[in-house]
Amino acid sequence: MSGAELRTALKVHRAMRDLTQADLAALAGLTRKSINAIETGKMVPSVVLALKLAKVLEAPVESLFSLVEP
Amino acid sequence: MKQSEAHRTEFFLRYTRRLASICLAGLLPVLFYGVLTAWDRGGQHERLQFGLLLLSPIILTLGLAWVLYSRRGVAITNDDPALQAVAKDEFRRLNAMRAVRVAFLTVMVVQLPLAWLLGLRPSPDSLAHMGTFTWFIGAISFLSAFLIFDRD
Repeated sequence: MSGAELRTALKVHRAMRDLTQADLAALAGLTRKSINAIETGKMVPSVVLALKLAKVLEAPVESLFSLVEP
Repeated sequence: MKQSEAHRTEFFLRYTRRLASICLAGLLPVLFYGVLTAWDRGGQHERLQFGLLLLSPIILTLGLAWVLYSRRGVAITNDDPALQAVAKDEFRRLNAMRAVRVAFLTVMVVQLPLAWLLGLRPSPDSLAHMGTFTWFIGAISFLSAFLIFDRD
């Protein structure tokens, strides 16, 4: 598992719901910078944050985040 | 949609960045003043030292006045959800932790040349100078690193 990278489909799910980064941030109780950092791969979200985003976007957490083997 | 909350969160993000920048701008002249005081035993740079000593409170006062003015009447309460979102934001906390690591490493690396340089001109104040420099270098490197990591 070492070296595996996190792939995120957050942007796709956000676009499907017609939400801006700021909208999603406000709904999930975090900042736009966090959403941007997750989408661009600068930050790996915690389990709590991933579950919170999945709840807000009404999508299973596995569809938002997945591991990619190098 | 919590549009107003999103705007407030953006406002607090900018506001806290401004505060950190002003603190950094206030700390830098104090550090330079300290460097001059530690090295300038003959008093050759007395005017520069006096200028630097005055510069820090002036920067802090003007900076804080500007930051407070830029609030434009926005009330800041501890239970504000937008403020809570900024305070508990995971990315900011991550950046703060990275900045702490940078500051720690900087302080560790700077200790050796600092001890060597102050040892060249030992005086009863050298220990106090070293302690003060360590604190200022730590604070300045933390604020600089945080502002760099946290930029858009």
